[in-house]
Amino acid sequence: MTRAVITGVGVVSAFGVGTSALLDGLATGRCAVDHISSFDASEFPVRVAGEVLGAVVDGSWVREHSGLDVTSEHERGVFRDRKAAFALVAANEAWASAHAGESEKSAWLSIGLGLEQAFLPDFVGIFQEGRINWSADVDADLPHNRYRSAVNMAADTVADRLQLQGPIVVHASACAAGVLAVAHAASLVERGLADVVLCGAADSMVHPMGLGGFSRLGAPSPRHSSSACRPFDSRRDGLVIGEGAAMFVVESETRARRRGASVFAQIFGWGSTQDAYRATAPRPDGECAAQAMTQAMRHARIDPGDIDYINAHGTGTPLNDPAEVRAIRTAFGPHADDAPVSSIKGAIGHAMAASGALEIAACLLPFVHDLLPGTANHQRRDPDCDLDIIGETPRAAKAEIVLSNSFGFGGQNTSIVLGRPENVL
Amino acid sequence: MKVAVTGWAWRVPLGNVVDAAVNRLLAGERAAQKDARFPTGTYSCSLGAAIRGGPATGRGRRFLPRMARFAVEAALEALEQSGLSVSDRTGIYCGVGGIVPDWDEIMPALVEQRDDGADSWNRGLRGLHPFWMLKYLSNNALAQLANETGARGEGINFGGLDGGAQALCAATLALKTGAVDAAVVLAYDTRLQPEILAELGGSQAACTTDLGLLAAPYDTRANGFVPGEAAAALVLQAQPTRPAIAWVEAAVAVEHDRLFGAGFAKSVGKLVHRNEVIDGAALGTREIDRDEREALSGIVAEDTPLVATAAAMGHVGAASSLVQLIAMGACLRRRTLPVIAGMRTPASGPLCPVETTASTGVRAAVCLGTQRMRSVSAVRVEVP
Repeated sequence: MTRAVITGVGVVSAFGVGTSALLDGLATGRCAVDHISSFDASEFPVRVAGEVLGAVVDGSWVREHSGLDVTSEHERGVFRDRKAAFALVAANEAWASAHAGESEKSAWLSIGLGLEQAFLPDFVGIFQEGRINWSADVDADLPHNRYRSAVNMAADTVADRLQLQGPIVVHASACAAGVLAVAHAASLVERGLADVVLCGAADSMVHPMGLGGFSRLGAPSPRHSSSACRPFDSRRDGLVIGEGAAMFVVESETRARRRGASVFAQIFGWGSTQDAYRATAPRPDGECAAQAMTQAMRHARIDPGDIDYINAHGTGTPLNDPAEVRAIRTAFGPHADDAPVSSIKGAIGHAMAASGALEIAACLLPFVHDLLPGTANHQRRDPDCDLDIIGETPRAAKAEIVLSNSFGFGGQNTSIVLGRPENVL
Repeated sequence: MKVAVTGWAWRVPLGNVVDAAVNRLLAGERAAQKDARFPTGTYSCSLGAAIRGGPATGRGRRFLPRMARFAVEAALEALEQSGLSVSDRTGIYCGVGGIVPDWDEIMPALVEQRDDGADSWNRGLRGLHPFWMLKYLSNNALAQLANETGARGEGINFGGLDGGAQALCAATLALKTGAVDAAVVLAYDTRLQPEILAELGGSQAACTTDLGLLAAPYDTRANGFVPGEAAAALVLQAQPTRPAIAWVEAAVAVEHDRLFGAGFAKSVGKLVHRNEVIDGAALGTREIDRDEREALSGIVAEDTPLVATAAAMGHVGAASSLVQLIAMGACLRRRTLPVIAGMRTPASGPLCPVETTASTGVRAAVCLGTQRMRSVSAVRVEVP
């Protein structure tokens, strides 16, 4: 059977721009969560995030980090939606790292994206007597991309700039979108429906509307500290919002080797289920999340004992973390205590639709540096999260096969199994 | 790969019951009206095709926006029709045009904001409903449907104007590979939002005339499309447990150089067989209509019948593929081709725009959708 492999990687995260920034940050056990600086969040109940640093995100920022002349996109206001900028910069790095050229331009684009972003200041000029007077729009001096971004805008921007010729698929499955986008890519390659797929995800909720909505929801930790998110810690009290993008070039192993491309990881298998429980909480027993992991391992044709590391969804909320632990125990049975587990959300925040893709990128750390990522701010064990949780310090280990979980709002569960490049199953 | 349709349902501007709405379609009715969902005042695009009435209420659906509730209703109706027992092997595939905010609902959060964005929390965001964010999750219709049915198989949510077509493609692939045994495909979208009408009118992509001057697509006077809204759902099975209502195949391609270019030919060429009917993209400008027909003439016979269900329903965004599929499937089960609503004088060119509702021996249709200069979707529906 055709094996799908990752031959290009690009990342934008709270650690900075570039895959190396993410991996170096994780390798040194740092935490990139800090007070929000891209707008004044001082009055919000939530004031910290895994924010892409230094980010006045506009055409200049994109040009600085990609070398692309994006004057047209800047003038149309495309980068008012931060995730469009992150997606393009990450995609550009992935494309370059894959040494992709003309023969790869038939590529599909499979990308997970978050919610459309509303641009609050745009409404100010068209308010009349407490209501929005849309007719005043004709006189409003606003960029083309106004009021709210389109759900597919980031995808179209990436495809246009990289001159991709293949179909575009936008995955909008909340926190599961990133893994689903990569799994979709692997599926297309395995079945010979696509030669090359540029895949991944981008998202940002680090803007007033996003921060306001999450603040009202009560899911984030109320603490204004870089240690706000403590996955699996007994003192955990909520997530931290993050942002960023991770993009990958996926093609068949045969094709990669034929053109001399470097392989960063192999995609062995994936699984997808739904909780069918509640929009607001995961199934407490983790049963359907366990099934996603089991499906992924079955697809990969491996046993639970073959997994050397689990990258957890690990949001740091009171309910999610123990549910995931129960799911791991169900899926792994007697091997549940064998595979070390960690979550990177304490270090970079929960990047929503981009989180699964960023975590796939994080899973390259074992393959590149023989290090398993630590769990930032995890200092006190919780009896309800009784697994081999890696603490704040990354752990030296040679991992051949890793599994990464993404469990989205609404109960969408996805898991993906990756292998070291030279591993032969 | 063809898969069997064992249930279908919709909420569309011509009505919420498939048979009754198809009666109106065959009668040549069109749902376009002025001020379809709200007063359009001085908007240049003032026409719209809206769903009548509201969705059912229900405690479990209080986190769903209006169109998502319609979609869940339609999906449950399709499931009931199919008689399918939902299980761990049932997948849900959803296409969403975009997450459309209820501007009236969040008005308190907006009205005091400053144009420099300062102090946005105290100026209104603190008044957002605590669950406002849950209401606008991109995948909440999919999640709610899973909750109500107990479907625990694969679930994927697609965004964008071709979301429904993408969902259909994913479902057929999942059935083909055995990832699931049955699939519920749902899609929903509304183009009847103020900012969308403002954009469509400003770019002149949609019709900017009064209702009395609205012309049909493929007519010599074609003058733009009418934005609409819809929710639709199908139940698909690779091995149907009861006689299929229809069979479907789907494809999505991307255009790069021009609309109806190589990608379009590739998509449609893969699906079309002999002696079929085309339900066109019906964008309704003379130039685009002409280009579409000329592109089709390279793929199908020049006397192929050309219909336009969008002339009656409006352009319904992400729900287009499913709505067209159901409309044409239902018409062909009656061995009848629907008139293009509002057609007076067909523009000359290849293919034959249908001027009057007529009987037919054709059993399959290829339904085309293209809502923007990027994505072409083609869905083939075949009836017994």
